[in-house]
Amino acid sequence: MNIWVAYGALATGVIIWFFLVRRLSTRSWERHGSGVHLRHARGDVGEVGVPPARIALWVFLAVITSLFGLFISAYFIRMGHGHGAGHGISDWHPVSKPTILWFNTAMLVLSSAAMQAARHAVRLNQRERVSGYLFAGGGLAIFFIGGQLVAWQQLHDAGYGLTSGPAGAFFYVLTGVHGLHLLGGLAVWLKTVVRMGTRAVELIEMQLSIELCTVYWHYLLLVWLVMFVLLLST
Amino acid sequence: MAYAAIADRDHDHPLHEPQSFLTRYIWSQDHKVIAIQYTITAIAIGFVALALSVLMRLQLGFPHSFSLIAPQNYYQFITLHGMIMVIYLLTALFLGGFGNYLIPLMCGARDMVFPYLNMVSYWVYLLAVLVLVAGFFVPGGATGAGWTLYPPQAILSGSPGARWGIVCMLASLAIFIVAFTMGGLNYVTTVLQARCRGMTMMRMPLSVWGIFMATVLGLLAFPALFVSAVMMTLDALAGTSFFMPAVSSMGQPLAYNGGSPLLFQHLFWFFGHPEVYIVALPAFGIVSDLLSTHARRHIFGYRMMVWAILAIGCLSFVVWAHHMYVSGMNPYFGFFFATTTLIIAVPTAIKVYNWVLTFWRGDIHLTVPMLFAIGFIFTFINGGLTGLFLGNVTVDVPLSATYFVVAHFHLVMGVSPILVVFGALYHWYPKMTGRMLDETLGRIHFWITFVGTYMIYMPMYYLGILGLPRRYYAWDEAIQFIPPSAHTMNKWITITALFVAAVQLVFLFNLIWSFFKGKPAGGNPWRATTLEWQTPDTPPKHGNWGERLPVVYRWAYDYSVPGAKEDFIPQNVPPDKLAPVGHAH
Repeated sequence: MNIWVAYGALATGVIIWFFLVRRLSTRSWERHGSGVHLRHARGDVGEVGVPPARIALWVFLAVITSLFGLFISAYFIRMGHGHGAGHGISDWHPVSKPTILWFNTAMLVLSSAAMQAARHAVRLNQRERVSGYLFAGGGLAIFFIGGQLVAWQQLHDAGYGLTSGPAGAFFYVLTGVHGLHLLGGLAVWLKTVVRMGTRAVELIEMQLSIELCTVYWHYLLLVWLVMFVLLLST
Repeated sequence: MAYAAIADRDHDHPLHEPQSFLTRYIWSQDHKVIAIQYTITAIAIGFVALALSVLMRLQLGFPHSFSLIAPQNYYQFITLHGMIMVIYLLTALFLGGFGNYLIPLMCGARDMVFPYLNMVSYWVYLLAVLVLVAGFFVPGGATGAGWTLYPPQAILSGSPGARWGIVCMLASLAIFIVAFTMGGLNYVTTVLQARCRGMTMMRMPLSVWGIFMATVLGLLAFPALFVSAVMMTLDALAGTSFFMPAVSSMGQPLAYNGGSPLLFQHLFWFFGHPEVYIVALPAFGIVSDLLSTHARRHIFGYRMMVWAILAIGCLSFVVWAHHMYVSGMNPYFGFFFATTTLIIAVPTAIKVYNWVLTFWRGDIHLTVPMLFAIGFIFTFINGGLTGLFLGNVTVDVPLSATYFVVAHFHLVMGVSPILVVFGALYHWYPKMTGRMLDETLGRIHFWITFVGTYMIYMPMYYLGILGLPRRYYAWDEAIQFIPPSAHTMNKWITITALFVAAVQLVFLFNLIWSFFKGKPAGGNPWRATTLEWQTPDTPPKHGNWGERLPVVYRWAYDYSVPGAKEDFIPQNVPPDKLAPVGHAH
């Protein structure tokens, strides 16, 4: 585990270093003859040519990574708290996970797959299939959120409330924060669907919105899978 | 040239200049108007925090003379003063205010890439401020938990505002983080994607670099505060035990069990230390530009300055536990964090040397912005050097609970960035309004603020070394170990603080008076090179650049170039337009 973390950190470091050194070693104060400046400017954003919305989404994903990463660290620290440091017994008692979580997970996987299919269909310029898959993707995500609420209800009925112990409280908080992020995604999805319903909008204009929705969906699936493994294993 | 296509995209559409008063000044999507909205709101709430500090100083200097300051009020003032100054004033002003104003103008863009999101960001920020202020008026008043809001005492009934005040505070912080994230996405994306042709990353002014890196830090660090705010709200309202250990209050055992107060401290400071640099990096960047412009000299070691900004940004994520030496930790942990803390002094010192070396053979103009910039260097060094003391565990432990820390923190993170804020306002006010701020009032403002700062905080260092404990409402009999001559220092500090606070009203007057009666500034009063001074109109109109976007041919620091006719060459002057001296045509 530690080896992999170290390896990952090293690899990230090398990649960042490579990009940074290339970009930041420019001697911007040196003067060039006329015309050279434009060649000089290349190799910067010009070559990337990414739409701003895509950059913003990736930056936002970094923010979410930080958010969920910190929630998960808090989870581990709270779980370990009480073991050592003279506290004696830990108050961490695992909760019984509702079986419906497996069903929900399947919903979210399918939802993500449907979004991917919609994205693919945009490339093939098949308008009908795009709408179908887009609806399926959003609908399955709504099912997922409904299923999560059922899981909350089941957990509550089984006697695990917010106050019954840290494991239960974390369960509600983690699934709640994840669900809220998915709801935010659904708001953007709804906007896309409404635009899709307007006949005047060409499919090609929808490409970016659908692509960004798909990326966001995949990302939230990944977050959920990590959290699901974490919740099941502890 | 895909990036030019993005930057030029407005050419395909009309600029949609807002027509009505409401869309132009209130629900505006223009980055300049949003910047001014942020600035005014931040300064307004900053004056509230200033008033709170005056009340605290009155209590400390003349204990028991003011019946309206009860102990619980004192703790409310301390808490709100800290939180407002750090987050709602400095963070909002540097990023929401200067970030919004300078990024598009300095990068040669027409606006932020997501103007609507930018507008929402301001209104959500305003909501956060209102929720914060609402804390004063809920039952029990505002929270008095100290600005770090440590549990368990933050939500135990002994603390002021433990029921609703703390909830207002946490809600306000969460709302602020939402606002900041919306703004931050805009700043980062605009810097990456909307620079004009020729504006490479390494030709950007250091102000933009500082604001850019600070935004990145904020985007990654604020989630930690968000996580702790969510979990503490649940502890306070829903009865969870994330942070709350088994504890008795007023003799009664409470339902909490097994939570970890240390977990909160880790989360808080994982945000809290980067927060120092969220405030400091924009200040570093802006002060670099002020020094270079007013010393008519290129910034010394531009590339090194950029690297230092990046290094400080990365290191700021691995020093947080130096705020927790007195919480108890594994000695190896302390060793690690002391080491990283001292390492961060290296890039910081590089920056200070480069600022000082920028003066070398410069043509120094002691304008008001320059005075504030020089004042910043002094104050930052004085505050920063004592940070080396406090970064070491063995020195920190005895000093941590004393006024030494108060002096260190206020000099390095309070006064230093505020001096830059003042310098920057004197510098860019002419661009924002088209009029100069009054020079004489500016000098009065500078000298009283600068000298007053030292008269306030130098005695505090001394009191701290003597062992005067901070956080106390009144010392009474508890400080008999301090020589009686030192007791009067608190009166001295208070009187000075009152003067310094009052002179800020002169600044406020200057801001308002100059808006109507100030000397007309013209487009480029400081003869500066950066793009914001090259706009066709002053103040710049909607869309900033008129018909055509600027094209950048050089870095931002071509001052006193040998052989050039003038002592500055704006970034957008093409090489073939430069007439050598003696060959004017």
